[in-house]
Amino acid sequence: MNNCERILPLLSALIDGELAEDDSRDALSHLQTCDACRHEWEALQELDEKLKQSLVDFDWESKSSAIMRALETQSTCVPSGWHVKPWVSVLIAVAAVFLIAVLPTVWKARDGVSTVSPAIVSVARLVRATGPVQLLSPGASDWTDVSAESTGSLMAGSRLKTNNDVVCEFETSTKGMIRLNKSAEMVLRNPNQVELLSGQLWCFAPDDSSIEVDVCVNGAESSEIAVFSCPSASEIQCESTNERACYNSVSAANAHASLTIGSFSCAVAPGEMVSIDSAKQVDRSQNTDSATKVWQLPLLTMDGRATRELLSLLNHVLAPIGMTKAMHLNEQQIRQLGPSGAIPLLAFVASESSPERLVLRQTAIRLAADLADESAVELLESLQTHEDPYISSVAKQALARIASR
Amino acid sequence: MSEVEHQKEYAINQLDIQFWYRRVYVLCQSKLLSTSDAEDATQETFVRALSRIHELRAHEAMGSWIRQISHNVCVDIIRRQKVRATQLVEIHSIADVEMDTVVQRESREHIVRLIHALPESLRETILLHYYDEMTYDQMASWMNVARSTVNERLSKARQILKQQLMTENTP
Repeated sequence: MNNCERILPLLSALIDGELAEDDSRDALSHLQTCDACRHEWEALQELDEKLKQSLVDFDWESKSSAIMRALETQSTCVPSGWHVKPWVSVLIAVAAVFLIAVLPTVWKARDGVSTVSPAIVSVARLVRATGPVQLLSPGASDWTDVSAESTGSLMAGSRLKTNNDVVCEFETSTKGMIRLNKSAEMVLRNPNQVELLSGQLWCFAPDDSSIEVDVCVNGAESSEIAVFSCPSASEIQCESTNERACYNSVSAANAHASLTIGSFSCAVAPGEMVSIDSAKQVDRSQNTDSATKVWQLPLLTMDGRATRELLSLLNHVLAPIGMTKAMHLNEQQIRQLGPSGAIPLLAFVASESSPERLVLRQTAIRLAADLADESAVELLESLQTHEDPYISSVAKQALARIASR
Repeated sequence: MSEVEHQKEYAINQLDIQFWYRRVYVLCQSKLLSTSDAEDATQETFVRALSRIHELRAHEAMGSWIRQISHNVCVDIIRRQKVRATQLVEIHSIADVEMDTVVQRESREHIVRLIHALPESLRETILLHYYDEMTYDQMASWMNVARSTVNERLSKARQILKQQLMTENTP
């Protein structure tokens, strides 16, 4: 074996300072005399530097402390209406950890099956609800009623159910939003995954991550899970109905999404509605129903503020009324409605985009512009930049008129 | 401190999460590739370990015991998700965001991609070395291989990475 063949395999360990003293001395002296090996050595050093830079340490400390904290404050479900002093909850948490650490011996002796570990990460919190929401915490055997005030964070594996007059909203720990319609049931798997067992769910994924909604499709013989993706910054609505799972990409501003069931998968375009059964029969339609999200209105009006989201939903709902007005009422009848008649007309102009209705829209904005008062300013402002020059100019004129009053 | 708190502290201290965290994380990342999966799996590993700490007879065996648990957790996850695509994953590599130019970031992401393309055993060794700064002996005992194997794996991994970076730079 010549010297190079002996030295080359040592260089990696030389970089790490893991060579025995003799080898290390031999290697270094060889590098002084051999250009080829020195070249190799320099290349390795350069790579080492690159790797060090690329695999920069991240905050291990906080990661591991987070786990410690999670283990220490094991989730304890407190029934609503219970007001517990902080030290009591600490005691409960401590007891829970103790149980986990000590009791498995007992469990094991009893059933001989290893226990399933509880999921302990907080994945979401209940933001608001129109009534009590039922919660089955992971590991618990009874359902409890919870409200936004009584419940803190919801752990992975939490099962949540609404009865026939409650709708509710959750915020995931990644800032996604999930709303559950009446008579629906879901399981929070993790901040980006939820399983819809029955009923209807709407979710909005944050800018930086997507949400996966697993919907159970019951077939005559077997059930399957349809996996719906809600891409980042998109909103979708899912429904589990009799033997079908329905995916509604409710906004035209959504990203393209997909649904998968077994080995079958298909794309869903923005604004498209796709429903699928266990035989993988797909029904596609364009989402034209303006009332799709109306069930969320009670949530949006809860804090008594007119949020942008509420306004846009209202506009959406009002648009068809505006169109009906513009189509079926004569001008005089519409004028008799006064300023309140302007809103649905403007909502129609703002939401409708088909070219064959352009004339109708122009009529609608002309009428609305005459009727509009302060309450219509926001809608008019959004129409100032409308692509149709007539619509945008009428909107501007109306705004000027309202401002000068 | 109450007896209950003592017990809790004892169990958690025995587990010494701070000590094991990085290597468990690296193992999970080597197997699962995705950062978020790796974090989930790491956490799951400690939850399982804590719930079974009574099974551990000798404290010295903790390394291989915890490694086995972690391995099982990963296998469960892989089974659950079927096979993960080898998509580009964010290994934590953002040191100084302000200084971070696009070029630097791209080169980091590129290196991460190359690491992910390595065989799993090489991938784990190189991540352990750079993430946890473990010595060869520590790595050998953690991965349950000979010290010379650690040396060979690191050397091999570096050869492959160097080769790939070089061929790209000289088109």
